[in-house]
Amino acid sequence: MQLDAMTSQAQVREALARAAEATWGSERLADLQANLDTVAAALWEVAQQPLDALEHEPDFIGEEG
Amino acid sequence: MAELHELGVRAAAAAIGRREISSVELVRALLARIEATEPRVQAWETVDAEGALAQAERCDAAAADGGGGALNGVPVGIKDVYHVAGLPTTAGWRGLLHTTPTRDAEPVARLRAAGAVILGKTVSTPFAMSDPPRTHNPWKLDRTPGGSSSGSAAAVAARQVPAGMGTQTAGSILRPAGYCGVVGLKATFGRVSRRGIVPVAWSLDHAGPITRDVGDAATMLAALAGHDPADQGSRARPVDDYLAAVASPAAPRLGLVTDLLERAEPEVRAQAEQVAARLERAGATVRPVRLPEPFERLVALQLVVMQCEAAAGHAALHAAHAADYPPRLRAIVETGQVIPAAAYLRAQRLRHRARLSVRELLADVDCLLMPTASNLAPEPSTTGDTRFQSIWSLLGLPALSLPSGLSAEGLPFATQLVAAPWRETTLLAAARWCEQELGPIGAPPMSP
Repeated sequence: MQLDAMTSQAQVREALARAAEATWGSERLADLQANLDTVAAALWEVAQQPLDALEHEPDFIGEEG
Repeated sequence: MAELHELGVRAAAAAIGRREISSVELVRALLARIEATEPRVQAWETVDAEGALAQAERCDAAAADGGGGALNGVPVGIKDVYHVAGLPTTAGWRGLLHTTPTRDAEPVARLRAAGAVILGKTVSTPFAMSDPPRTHNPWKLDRTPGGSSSGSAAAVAARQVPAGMGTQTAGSILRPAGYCGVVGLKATFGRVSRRGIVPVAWSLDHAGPITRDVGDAATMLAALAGHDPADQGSRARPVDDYLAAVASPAAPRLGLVTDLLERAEPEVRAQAEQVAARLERAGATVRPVRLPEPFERLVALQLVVMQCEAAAGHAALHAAHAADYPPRLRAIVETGQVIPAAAYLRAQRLRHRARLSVRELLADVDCLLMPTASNLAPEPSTTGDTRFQSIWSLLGLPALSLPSGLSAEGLPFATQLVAAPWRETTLLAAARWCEQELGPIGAPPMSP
């Protein structure tokens, strides 16, 4: 899935569903649908945020941890 | 003296220390309380009557010698994702994980070292995720107690035990505490060890206490806090004096988070605004603030990180037992495994940016103030709305839920306070001050 190349939440949802179907089979899609929708919305939100390539390394536990 | 099952942590420890009561008497009273109320509440996975009485006898002997720690003889319930030596760990799903450890989880060991009596294991939702528990809310049995620390919150509220231990990855300490009308405390990520606890998501998991008041939460944290080199998330920061913080708190400077008020149900929003006004009249400085990052973005970041890490943690078990998984957890694991690694890492980068920007917000106030959840305890097919708590788990900030009133239908309202990293003393002082001003909500109307 090329998240950065996607232009809509629906595209993210479709790509996520395709990946789920390829991994778990079509019979699982109905049970996964609600969570796939939730995660697609979250991924779309994450994808919308610009990030400077030179800033902000992944912060697994931060200074807090 | 109050009935024994009404005693909180400090009151019980003091009475045992003065030898006004014995720990054995207290344990027997709580066992009777559990026997009377458990058919309705269903908060316990395992009650270790024999083991607790044996521990209580040792605590009474220590008290007779003038010894014992700060929690000497005080019974505690442990969420069934913590290992307790000699008791089975099911993580809320007996079919998949059922081990009987020989060693305590580090928080349990620290509680024992302070003299606590481990009364048993409390109900967790399956693997501390979102599938609902069998536990009922003591305030209204047809409502959820919240999750995933469902049993600890319900047991403390139902006066079955003075304190319980919970864990929080999204909102699993504060939300059940809020829905059940008790106090929940999640310290800064790294303050309380998670060693010996079944993980959900490594970079989000916190351990913390559930009690009936803020002073008891401070007492529990004093026993729990401290560096554990065996927990990779633990940090060697000095442990502050939490008991001194709650002794004579000053009126705090509070930032009322309007982003969350706008997303709360009308009844919850109205009560939160009343709470803010009441605290301001009592001397607190209250000013509206807005989150420096969009609320939906913070919620999304937590969700992506949690689902990816949960999927990774469950990969082997799921591969062997997928058909046995509870439905919501199975969906999370299967979705998490198809989220691209690049998206996970992007979320962790954005998380760093969010940490920095929220820290600036906390520079001008002692604590942020908001409802603990968007709603009152809902019906039991769900464990409730995680969003108002999950953003603080994402950021690793210390947070506390405090009962702040009762609705017309008799359900608890709850207020959440959040402080800057490692400012547990600031958080506890502000919470104690607010608690004094708001007053107690009492016990759920369940008899006996």
